[in-house]
Formats: sequence, C-alpha cells, structure tokens
Amino acid sequence: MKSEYGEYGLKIGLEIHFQLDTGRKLFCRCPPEILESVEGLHFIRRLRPTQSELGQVDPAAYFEFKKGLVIEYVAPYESSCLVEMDEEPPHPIDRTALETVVRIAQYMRSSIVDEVHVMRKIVVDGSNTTGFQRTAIIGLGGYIRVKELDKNIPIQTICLEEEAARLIKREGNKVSYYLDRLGIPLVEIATAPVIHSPDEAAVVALSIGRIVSATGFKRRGLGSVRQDINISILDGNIVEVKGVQKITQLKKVIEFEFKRQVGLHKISEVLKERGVSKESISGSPVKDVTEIFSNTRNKIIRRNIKKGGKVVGVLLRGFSGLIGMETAPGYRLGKEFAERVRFWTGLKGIFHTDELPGYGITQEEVDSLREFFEAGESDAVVFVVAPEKQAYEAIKRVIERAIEAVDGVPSETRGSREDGTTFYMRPRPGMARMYPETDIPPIRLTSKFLEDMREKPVKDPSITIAEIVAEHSINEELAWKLYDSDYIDLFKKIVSEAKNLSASFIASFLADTLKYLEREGLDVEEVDDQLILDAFKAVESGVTEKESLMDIVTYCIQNNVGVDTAIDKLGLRKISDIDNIRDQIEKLLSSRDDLRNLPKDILKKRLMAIIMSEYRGRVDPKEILGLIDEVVGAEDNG
Amino acid sequence: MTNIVEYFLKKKGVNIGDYVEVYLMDGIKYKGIIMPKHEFSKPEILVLKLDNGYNIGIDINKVLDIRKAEAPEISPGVSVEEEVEKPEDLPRVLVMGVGGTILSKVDYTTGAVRSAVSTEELLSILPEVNQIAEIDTKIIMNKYSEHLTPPDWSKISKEIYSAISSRKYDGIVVLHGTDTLGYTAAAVSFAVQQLPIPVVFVGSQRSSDRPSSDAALNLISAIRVAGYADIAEVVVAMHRDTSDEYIAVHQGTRVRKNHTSRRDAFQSIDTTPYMLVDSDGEFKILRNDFRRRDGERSPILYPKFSRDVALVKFYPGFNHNILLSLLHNGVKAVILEGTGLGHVGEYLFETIGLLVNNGVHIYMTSQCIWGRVNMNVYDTGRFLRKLGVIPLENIISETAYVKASWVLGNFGVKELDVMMTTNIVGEASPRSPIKDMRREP
Repeated sequence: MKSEYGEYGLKIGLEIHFQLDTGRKLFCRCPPEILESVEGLHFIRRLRPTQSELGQVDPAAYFEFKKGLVIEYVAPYESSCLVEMDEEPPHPIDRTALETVVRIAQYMRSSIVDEVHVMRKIVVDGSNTTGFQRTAIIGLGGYIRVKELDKNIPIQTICLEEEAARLIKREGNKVSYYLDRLGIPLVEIATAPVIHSPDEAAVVALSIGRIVSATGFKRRGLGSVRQDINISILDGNIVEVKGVQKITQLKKVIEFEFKRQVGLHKISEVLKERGVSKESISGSPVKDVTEIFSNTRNKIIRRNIKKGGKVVGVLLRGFSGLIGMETAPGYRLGKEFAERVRFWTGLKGIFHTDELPGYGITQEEVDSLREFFEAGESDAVVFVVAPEKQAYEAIKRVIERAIEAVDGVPSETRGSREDGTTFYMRPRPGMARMYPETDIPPIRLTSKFLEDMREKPVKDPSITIAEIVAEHSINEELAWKLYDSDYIDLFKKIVSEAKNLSASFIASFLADTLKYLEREGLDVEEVDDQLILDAFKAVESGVTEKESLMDIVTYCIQNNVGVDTAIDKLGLRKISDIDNIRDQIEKLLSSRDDLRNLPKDILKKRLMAIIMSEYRGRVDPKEILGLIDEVVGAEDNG
Repeated sequence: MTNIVEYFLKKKGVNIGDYVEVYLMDGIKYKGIIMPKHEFSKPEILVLKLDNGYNIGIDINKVLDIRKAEAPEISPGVSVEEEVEKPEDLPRVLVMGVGGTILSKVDYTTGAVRSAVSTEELLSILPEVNQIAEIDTKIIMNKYSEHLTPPDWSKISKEIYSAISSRKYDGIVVLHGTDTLGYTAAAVSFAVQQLPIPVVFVGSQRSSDRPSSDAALNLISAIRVAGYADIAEVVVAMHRDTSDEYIAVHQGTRVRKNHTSRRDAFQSIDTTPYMLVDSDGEFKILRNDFRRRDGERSPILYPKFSRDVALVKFYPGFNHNILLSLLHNGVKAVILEGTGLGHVGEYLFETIGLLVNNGVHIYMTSQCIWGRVNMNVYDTGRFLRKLGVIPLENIISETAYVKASWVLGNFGVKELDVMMTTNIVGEASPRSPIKDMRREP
C-alpha cells in the first residue's frame, strides 16, 4: 500500500483546530465550559444567506434556507450570554488567546501579521448564531520540525477563531444547537499539502498537538481537537474532509479517502476509454418510465406511484459496471449519486441497473427499461421515484455528479465518521465567503508586544520531556505518553501532593489506565482533576490500597460521586483507619490541656464533635463513641 | 492630507481594489487585493485581502515594493434561478427609505456598508416579498436615525401624507434606524391623522449584512401589516422576543427602545401591542381600540415641529443653571422627566417657579418609564403643581417631547396646556392596564 500512495501522488494537508482554555470565550466573558445537561433558554432562528462577493447567493446556503431550516438554540445561563445569542455585539478579543496563538506562530517561525483583522466567514447551517464564524489570520508561513519523519513540515496559516455551537439533534428541517461551546477560542493550524501517507499525517498531527499543549492553554477532552483534511491524488481536485477527532480516525479516514479517490480515478479512465465526455453526459436522455413499473413488486416504487409519484430515469452511456463498482470498502459511485440526490432533494435513494435485478425489481422490468432507453451493453440507467418535480431535480443532480466522474474526483466537502468512512456534505464553498467583522477594530501587534511574547516562548516539548525524565526518574516513553495525555500539570500536582507515591505509578495511571478506561467507554474527559487528585491522596494517606485506584475512579465516574463515597460503596476502606482515629484521640488528649481538665461527660462530647467533624459519613458514630470510651476510660484509670 | 500608505500606493501607481504583489524586506511576498482602511486601523498599516479571503494588516515600513499582478481567476458562482409565479391582485405597498441599517448592503470587496434600496435590490434580497405585495420603493433620505431632527419629521410626514393622498397604496412601510424610531413614529402619529391605511415603521437591531439579521422577518412582516392588516394607524413592527417567530405591532406613540442591541428592544409601554404577526404571516389581534382601514377616509396633515422644546432628565444634584439656560435660549416648553410619581428636588423649586413666571411651560413625566405620574400624593408633587408644573399622565417622555414640539409648531404656545393634557392620538391611556411590563403573547 505504501508505494501505492506514492504512485498516486497522495497529498494531504491538515487543518487542525485546538480549543484553547483561557478561562473565557474569545469575544465575551463567558466561561468556556462544555456542559453535561442541555438546559437553558430556548429560542428559534432562521438564517438567511447573504449575497456573496459576486452578488450571488451561495447555492448550498440558499438551499438550506429554501428547505426552511428552522434552528433551535439552547442557551445555558451559566456559559452563554447575549453575545452567543447574537443579541449583543462582540466584546474585545481575549488577549490571552491572542497571545497564545502569537506564541505558537513565533515557535513555528511564522510571519506574524502587523495588524490583526477579524473576518466573518459565512456559515448558515446554524452552527453559528450570527450566520458566520469570526476568524483572523495571525501568522503566515513557517514550519515545524518533525523529528520522526526527519523533515520540516511547512505551515500555511495560523488562525485564531471562535468555536461553533454544539449540534444536539437534527430532525427533518429542524436542527438544534447548544451554545455552551460557541465562542470558545480555537487555534487553527494549516499545513502545506506535503504529507504523503496516513502514518505521516498522524505523526504531523501529534507533533502540532504537542506544540499547542506546550502553551499551557490547550483544552483537553473529546472534541477539543478537530482536524480537517485536504486530500488529493494525482494533483487532482482537493477534497476537504471535516471533523476528524482522533488520530486513529485520522489514519482510517485518509486510507478510506485514498481508496475512494483512486477508485474514482479508475472510473474516469474507463469512461475516457469508452469515449464518454462531459458533453455527452449532459445531453443524456431523461425519461418518465413510470409505465414500466406500473406492476412492480418493489414496495417503494409501488407506494410512490400510488401516491402520484413518477419514476424518472436517465441513460448514462458508458457507465455500466462503474456505478456499482466498489471504490472504497462498502462505497460506490452509486452511493455518491444517492448522497448528492439526498442533499439536494431530500430523496432517500436511487436505483441503478448495476444493482438490478433486485429489491423486487425483475429482470423483465430491467430489460424493458434498457429497451426503452435503447441502452447498449456498456450503458447504465439510473432512476428515482418521487413526486414529479423532485424526481426530475434528483435526476438533474445525478447527471451533474456523473459529469464530474469524467474528471475523476470532484472537489467537495465531506464529513467523516468514527470508523473512517466519509460522506458527501456539501459543495466546496467558493474561496472567499469572507468579509470584515466591522464590530471588532483591527488589533495592531507592535514590535514591543511581539518582543514581550518572545519573553515567554512556547517550550519545546522535548525539553519538557527531558525535564520530567530527569526530575522524576520515569522512562522517556512513559513521559511522552503522559505528555500526550495532556495530564502533565495534573501529574506535577499529584507528585507534589502525594510525595510517598512513585512518580512512575502516577504517570502510568494518568497516561495508561485513564486511556484504557476511556477505551472501555468511560467518560474520562468529564472527570475533574480534583477527583483524581483526591483518589491519589486516599492512596497516599493509607485510606485505601494502590490497587483499588482504578476501581475507585471508575466508580466515581460511573456514579458521579466523590472518592470517599466510592471507597465506602466499594468497601475498599482500610480497616487500620480506626486505629488511626484512636491515635488521634490519644494525641488530642496529650496535646491539649484545655480538653484534659474537662469533666468526663463533656470531654467525651467534645472529642466526639472533633472526630466526627473530620470523619463524618466515613465512620460509624457508635464505633467512635466506643473508641472514645475506651481511650477516656483508660485515661481515668491511669 | 494623505497618509503614508496612500502616499506609497500613489508612488507605486496602485489603487485600492487592485490585485497586487507585496514584497517585504524579509523576503516574504504576499498577494492580494488592496483594501480600504478600517477607521481604527493604524495609519502605517496597509490592508490586503489574501486569496483565501482573509484580510491582514502589513506595516508599510516593512514593504519594499508593491506591484500590480494578475488576479487569480474566480470561478463564477452558481446563480440560483427562481421561477415562481407571482400571484395576481396583490396589495400595493410603498417602502419608504429614511435610513438605518435595515436594508444596508455590504460591498464585499471593501467591506463597506451602504444603504441602497431600489425595488430590484429589495426583491433580490427578499425574493419572497414578490409573493406578498406589489412593491414601490422611494428613498426620501438616508440618515442614521440619531441624525434626524424635527425638520426631518416634517419631511417624512409630508411624504407619507402625499403617498397616502395619491390613493395608490394599501399601506406604507418606513425603513428607519432604530435609535430614534420611537420619536419619529410618535411624530408621524401626530402629524398625519385620520389615516385610511397603515403606516408601518420598521428597523433592524442586528445589521442586515449578517445571515442572522432580524431585518428580513421585520420587513416582511411590516409589508404584511401594510398590505393586509385591517388597521389604519402609525405602528412600529419589530421582533417580540429573541426568536424569529413573532413580530409585535406597537402603537406609534407608546413604544420605546428599551435595549441597546437585542432584537426585542422595542416594547409597548403601559399597553400591549395592537397585534402580532407570526413568521407564517398570520395576524394575532391583541387589542381592539384601533382605527380600521377605510380607503375613503381623508388624512389630515399637521406637519410642523418646533425646536423650542427641551426634554430634561432630573437627577440628584441637578444644577438649576441648566434650567436657567433653557429660559435664556428661548425654550418655550420643557418636558421634565422627574423621579417616581413626578418629582424633582426642592432645590429646583425656585428656578422652576422663575421659568414658569417667565412663560416657560413645564410638563412632568416619569423616568420610571412604566407607570403614570401623580403629583397629588406627596408634598413635592403638590408643591410643583402649585408652581405651575403640569403632569402628563402616563405619556412616555419621548412622546411628550415630540407632542410639545408638534403643538408649538402647528398651534402656537397658547394651545399648549390644553393640548398637552388632551389625549389626541392615544398617546396617554386613561386606564392603567394590568398587563404591561411583560411581552404579552
């Protein structure tokens, strides 16, 4: 496969987005918190595409609008305000986020702009309440050194952007978004298309992530990093795949996309061999073939015809065998036709002769269809069933996509799934759906400011690793794992607060065990640092055993309870605890004169109060009472 | 005076809008279009729009050379063909432009916002209007509403009167900036009376260059009211709440902008809106005390407004010399926006007495916004009344100011007291409704 990437000139450019945690959002003072509950003020909006530079409406945008897309927003009271609701102009930009991105740009030796101009990038799918995303170029050019590949990867742009709202659900023509995420600062780093394999892409993505981590402001957790991939073969059209969240997924997506593009390339070669041209396709005969299916056993067709729908087909000369040919695993040109049709008309599917007879459609019907269209052996027929207007519109889109097949890979924006498959999202937007955000004055980056930023450079990750290895005597591999887990700060905190535990134990728990729990489906991302710290402290103070740590953390996450409760519920509290309390009582009596001189009954009450204030809920009061009786009684006798 | 950037560009023979290559001292080269400057962009900065659509600012001191270059080919976008049949017998609506951002357009190369309302442009932005009404457009001025003055109210009133008198229209929509929209709506309510058709003021709070703007729904709904609603009043049509669901149709003399930026900034004060229009165009009537359409009815025009009126807000420590200066500057009527039920500090009593004795008419409204003044309850109120201050019930301060200006302009000072205390177009309500402060559905 490796050589195949080279053979087909696979070119990959990455656009990686990292959420920044600077304590606020980019254009308002709301906390950048992703919330668990979806509660808050509900409101409804409709976005209208504005006219583009050319005085024309972005067709994809206009189409969304024509579909009557209703957008429901839920604005949480704690982490959104009128700015997220687009009810108030943006506040001045978050300086910390700006500084962080400037520091990244300096590290990458990028040319930093002298004045930052915030732009509005039009997005009317509802993910931004305004209908645009605010974004600004901070740095142009530069590179990162990737040791593992022994090469420099050029950087194209480094941008500071605002994060979009979080999709909750999509139902028919209604889509719901939650505004907790909207406005969180993002740094977007785009590499040149110089990456030539999935493995290289993974290494580059990891390297860039490490640099962003080194700023100390990278947000962690699922969804805090998203990569868009620009991918092409043979210097052909660029396909943009959106929203890849994990490195493992990144590799799978590239593999899938590569296969798909190679498949499309092969299709285009066959088409050319068969003498098919764009012109010939655009003149393809489109016909109403409802009559042929008047007695069909296919339920969908029958039901639709009954409702007055029409079967409309098109003859695609030279396409036989190509529509049903697998390009990527489980993926075919026919599927691409269907995705296109669905996007533009909402129709769920299409039929084509490469997969017929089948689905209750008989050989006889296929024969008469072919006959009706006078289809030759190398020709295919694609047809749909729908209300007349919709059916013709669908066929128009099939022809459109078929024409693109002559060139091979069409330029488009695709979505990605966890398993690495990709799907058609929308046409690739024209280049500059952008205009200035007039509500934000330009920001001059003075040489003084840039000097100040150079005073706090982004620390090279390998130096951090060297320090950790030297200071805590853990091995380098584990140190990198820890680094990549984004738990470095927590690691340092635990090490300093639980001095008796070995650093390797702490590091491997954070880097390995938590990752393992995550793979097991536990929502590790949502865990509070404090909880993990508490768990380690419980181990250190001897409340529980080292071996119980994973069970305790798991229980805490699953049941949303604190460490103490988990220890009790799991019965993992060390018995020796009670002995500690006895020691404590004795210590109290010997060290505090004010207690010793009290009458015995009062003394017992006071001791009880002191002990219970510390151990409430973790010990049986009766047991403590017994313990006090024992100790105080002994005192008396002595 | 040219600045350094302009000088440099001139020297290099390139202009704003040109596609250029910019060579920097450190060997970097940028390509893009030279953009006009943002007002707050620093003087030494050259703004370039790169091929990827982003603007960046470049310090001109770092620039070695600028050369004109061949712009990359921009693939023509897909135009959206729309073949929809136009229904017949649509009502005819005049869309009159006064100003504001409601139909401003962005120039995408420069980013500048310009107001432009030709019928064609309006229909290209809001194609569905074609299904609602036959539209004529007329721009009578193009001002942000904070720049409007009483002479502008006169002009607007006369234009509306003449459009109504032409008997060509089923309704009139006035596009207006929101800052002083309430004032103008009140002014027209007094100036053009006995309307046969509705006059609908409309604005937008969120600029129309954004996909989320309230402009479209506000305007479409305003056109629906103008074309179809059985009402013949001066009204203001704006979002009822933050959702793009309901447009509230407020009475022109009883509406106030109560928020700097929200879509639902406009609220009816001490009353409910006349009606709502939902996003599908259905009317929901909330009141019945309005004049119905009657094409036969002839409007009456009283278009003059005097500038010898002041609207003064009282506050603790108010300097009495401010009132004295009004007297010295020939002000004939003062709307005093007092505290609570209609009070000012006792340290102003003497000056108020002096003004009244010198022929200045002083009227009291409340800075509480909601509620009625009553100057019988406390000593202060009673004393002010004895001094000659006249309470104005629950008329809102801005409307009181407009009304005084209108009475003085058309009827002279001797009619002031009688007319100010007479309810002329529903600007005050004899009853204080229970439902007021909330946005009633």
